[in-house]
Amino acid sequence: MNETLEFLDKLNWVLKPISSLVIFLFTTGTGNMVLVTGFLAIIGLSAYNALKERNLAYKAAKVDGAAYVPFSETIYLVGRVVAKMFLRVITNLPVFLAVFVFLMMVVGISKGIDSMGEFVENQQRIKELQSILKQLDQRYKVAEVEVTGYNAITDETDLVIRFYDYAHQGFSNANQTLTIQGTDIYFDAIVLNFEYSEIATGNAKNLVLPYRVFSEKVPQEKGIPLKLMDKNGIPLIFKRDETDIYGMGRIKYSQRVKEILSYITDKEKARMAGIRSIFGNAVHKNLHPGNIINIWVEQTGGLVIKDAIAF
Amino acid sequence: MKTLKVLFILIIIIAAIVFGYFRLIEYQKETIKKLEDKIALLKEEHIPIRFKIIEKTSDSISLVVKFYNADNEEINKLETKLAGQELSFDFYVVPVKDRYVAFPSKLFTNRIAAVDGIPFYALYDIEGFPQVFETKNIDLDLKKGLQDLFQQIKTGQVDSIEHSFGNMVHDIKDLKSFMPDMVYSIVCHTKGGIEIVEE
Repeated sequence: MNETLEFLDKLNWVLKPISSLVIFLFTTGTGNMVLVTGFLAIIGLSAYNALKERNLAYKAAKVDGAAYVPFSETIYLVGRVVAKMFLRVITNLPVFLAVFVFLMMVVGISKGIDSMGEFVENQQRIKELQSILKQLDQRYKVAEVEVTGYNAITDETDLVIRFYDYAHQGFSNANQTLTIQGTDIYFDAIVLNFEYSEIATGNAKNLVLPYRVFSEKVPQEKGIPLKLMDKNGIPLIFKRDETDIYGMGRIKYSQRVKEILSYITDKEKARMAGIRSIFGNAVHKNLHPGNIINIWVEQTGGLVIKDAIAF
Repeated sequence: MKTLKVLFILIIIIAAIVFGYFRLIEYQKETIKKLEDKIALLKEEHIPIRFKIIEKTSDSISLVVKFYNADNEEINKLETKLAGQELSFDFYVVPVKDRYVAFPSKLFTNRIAAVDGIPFYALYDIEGFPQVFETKNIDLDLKKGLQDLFQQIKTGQVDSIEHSFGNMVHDIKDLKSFMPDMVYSIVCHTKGGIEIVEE
């Protein structure tokens, strides 16, 4: 398949400029103007030649060379040239039509090769996105949260959040410490549901991206953002070691993960990707100093809290 | 002698409290244990809540929330207006064996903190039973287990229910907001996860 595509690409290297020229000439205003100008230029040149020849004949007939073609004859000559040209066009119409059809075939073949390349590229992209969803569609640990303190006077809870970095199969060194009012702590996430999407291949697939913390006392709009991304904008929970990525290289993997994440901020892209729904999902628990909990994403796409001791 | 008497009474009281506490924990564990045997009888997914936005302005939402039992029959409804642009439906979730039992707990918004939200329990509490799980021919042991669990959740004794947690779903105004006149269902999957589906 790849060899065929390569051969077609080489062929298109020749066909594409012809196709682009034909499309330019026949489908754009400027192109039409170029065609008409060219046609008029041919008529003009032919008329000029006819007049020049007749002028020479007149000059040869007069010895002092002072004779000119009369105006009435000039009109006749130009008219004859134009008429001849139209007659030539009419008599050669089958040839012109054949050339036109041939050019349209070149355009068609060139466009066909382009679309085929685009189709194969899209198929590859969909395959890679499917693969990403499959690789992320599993139960995975998001973070471990430890309650390091509680101030009863201000009713504030101190937390240390350790995000799980799947590229290193362990916790990331970049912990996030935060203090928030209240004790019932909510861990909020964005859920992308791909159920209607081509890349979900008919199965319900949810992708979960935790993004903020709030509490029973702090409303969502005043929540604290989670620092879950690495320096390249890939969430730590979606990072994978080279050996754990299948079907593509690390660069391609990161590229495709970013593409999926872009659906979160781009409504149109999300619609085009066939995302069924985007909603928020938060898990919460009343926490006390010394508590250590783990936040997991279940295979069904739901967030759950597990006590750290259970693992 | 008097000091000894006071000390003895204190010890008795402390022992009674400790015994009471452990008995309570034991009782809760028994409740969960009883439920474990019957939990598979719960439907794999059910819709305890449907809602419709009546009006939405830049700073408030008017809506109707309807509660349904497991047979999809309406139990109760709530009409309210809240400040904010995003709606949040909170649930209390208890893991039982390999399932999760979700009790709708409250409604709030991105502007209203959860503590000031509208509590749901009273809206589907019929004679102490969480009516959202009611179905024809419900197993009596399952019913009793759910009723006991509901009693603990309603009274706030949740810290001692092992591995329990809250789970809330909401819309995100910058991405996909709930639209007026559309009906949305909240689907609870007993194998984990709560999701909002447009009907």
